Amino acid sequence: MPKPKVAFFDFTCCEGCQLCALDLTAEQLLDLLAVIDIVEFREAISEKSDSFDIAIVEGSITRDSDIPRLEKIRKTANLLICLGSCSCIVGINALKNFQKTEELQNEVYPDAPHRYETSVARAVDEIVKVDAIIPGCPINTLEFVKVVKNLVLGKDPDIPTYPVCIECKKKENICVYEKGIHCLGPVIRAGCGAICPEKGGYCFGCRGLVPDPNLDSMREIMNKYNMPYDQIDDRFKLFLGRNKEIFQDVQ
Amino acid sequence: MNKTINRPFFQITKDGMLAAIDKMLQDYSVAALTEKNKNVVFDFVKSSAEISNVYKPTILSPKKFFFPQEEVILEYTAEGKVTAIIESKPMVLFGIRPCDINAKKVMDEAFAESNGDANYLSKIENSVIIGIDCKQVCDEDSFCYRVNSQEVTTGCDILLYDLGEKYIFEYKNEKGREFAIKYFGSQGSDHGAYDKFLKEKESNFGKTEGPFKDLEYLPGVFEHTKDHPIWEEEAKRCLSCGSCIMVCPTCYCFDVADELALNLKEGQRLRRWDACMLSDFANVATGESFRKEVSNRIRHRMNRKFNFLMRKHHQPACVGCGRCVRACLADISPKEIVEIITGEKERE
Repeated sequence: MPKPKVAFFDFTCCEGCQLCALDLTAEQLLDLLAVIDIVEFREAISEKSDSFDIAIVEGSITRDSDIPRLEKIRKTANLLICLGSCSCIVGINALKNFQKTEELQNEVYPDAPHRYETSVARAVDEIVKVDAIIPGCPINTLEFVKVVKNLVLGKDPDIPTYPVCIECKKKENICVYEKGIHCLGPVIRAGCGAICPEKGGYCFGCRGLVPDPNLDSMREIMNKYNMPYDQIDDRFKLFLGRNKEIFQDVQ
Repeated sequence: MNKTINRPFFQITKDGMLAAIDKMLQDYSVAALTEKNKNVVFDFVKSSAEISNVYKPTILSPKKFFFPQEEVILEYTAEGKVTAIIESKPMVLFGIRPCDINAKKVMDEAFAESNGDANYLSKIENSVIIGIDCKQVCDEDSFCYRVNSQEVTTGCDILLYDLGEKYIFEYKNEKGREFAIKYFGSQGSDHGAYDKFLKEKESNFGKTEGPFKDLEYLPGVFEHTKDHPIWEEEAKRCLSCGSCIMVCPTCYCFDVADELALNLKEGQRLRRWDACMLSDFANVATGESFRKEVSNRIRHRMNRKFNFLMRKHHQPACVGCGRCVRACLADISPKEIVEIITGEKERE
């Protein structure tokens, strides 16, 4: 079986998830390279290629001029994988959708607002078909390896559909609500190992909603634990601003 | 009640017990109640000094020692070599409470069914279970007294009664007897102390509501609740997060998955805890789900506890430990559900 050729591409993002993809032990990296050929990856190699089987795309689509490039990547690749919150769910890039485009242009480039081309921040699957997602801000490196491996084997990518609570309970973490902290864990896709609640924080929602979330109940519970509804909206906004179930009226 | 007849009640001082535990540690891994990240959990200890003196309900039950969250059940190679993996080590589980002892009975019966589950049973066979009886209800969320699981008949090898400065103990089987002789030594017996403990326990539990109305008939009662409005009402609040199942001492559903190593040369078959409250638990290969609605999943789970499995085990498969009540952000409680179903109480 010839090794599939894999290329990495980035749009609007910090490129941190690509770095996470490299955050492997030497053995893991060699094992990975025994299974795939990396033909384009600007954070790791100088080579570029117009021929690849799997495209791994990081970042949101925030300029209309990005669309032809993304469409060309899609056309070339057999499989397209979204890497990180920005490409999977837009994440923090969606915050700008709550402001008018002209306002943003004037704020960022007050002397030459027209130089700043921008439009609504969108997820990759709003433009082209996506075969698998590796969510997170940043991604979980081991999940990246697992998804790539499963796809190479022709299997389902197999990322969790259950919420972060499952991972907290398995680790016997004290529920952060008991500490008076509000957490989005009950409605957010697991796979991170509940790292934020475990380390004293709370779930920000970077991995996106579970497939069938009970948002009404989540909001009521957060309110019951003394959080006003406008603050609850802000909590959701940080990573889930592009979610149409939560924010219907945003551009 | 003539419980003391023919039942030997030996005594051991608390210091004597600590010394006995340190002696056990030379031969066994010992798991007990211990502090971890400002929390009390059942975990392996290196010395008796690490054991917490004050009981507080734990997030996970001791079932994790016999039915791990994730367990390798076989290994395979690309060439087709398959090796069954059955791992267990000599272990003492010290200080588990009546609710968890009764839960273990349900698990033991479930995993012993048919040809038996070698992975579970080997761990049980390799373990000595030392229980500690409860003199009173541990907190406001537990409801052991509603399902009679504050009483221990079998399910452990040795049972201790805490009398402050000392323990009274009885062994429940031959394994417990041999173990007690070897590690506890003989420090005389004290029937009077046991009678005193029992009287206080009866008095404390006598102040509770007692067992559920129609407790022994619950399977029949649940049989007729398919269209009860409570399932839709609870589903409105339920987050379907599965926390109740992770913390449940009698939930034993698991998923099995093959994980091929990245080198594609060898792999492992793993079994992991699964949860019937999760949305894709009842998904099948063609994409349908048997229990797509949350209300169906809650109804199924409650029927497992008070109907289906109760018929099989002749005790409710809910032991009233209260872990799911503590874990549920939506305040869903099996106690309340049963009380409404039996008509004992009305929704507040």
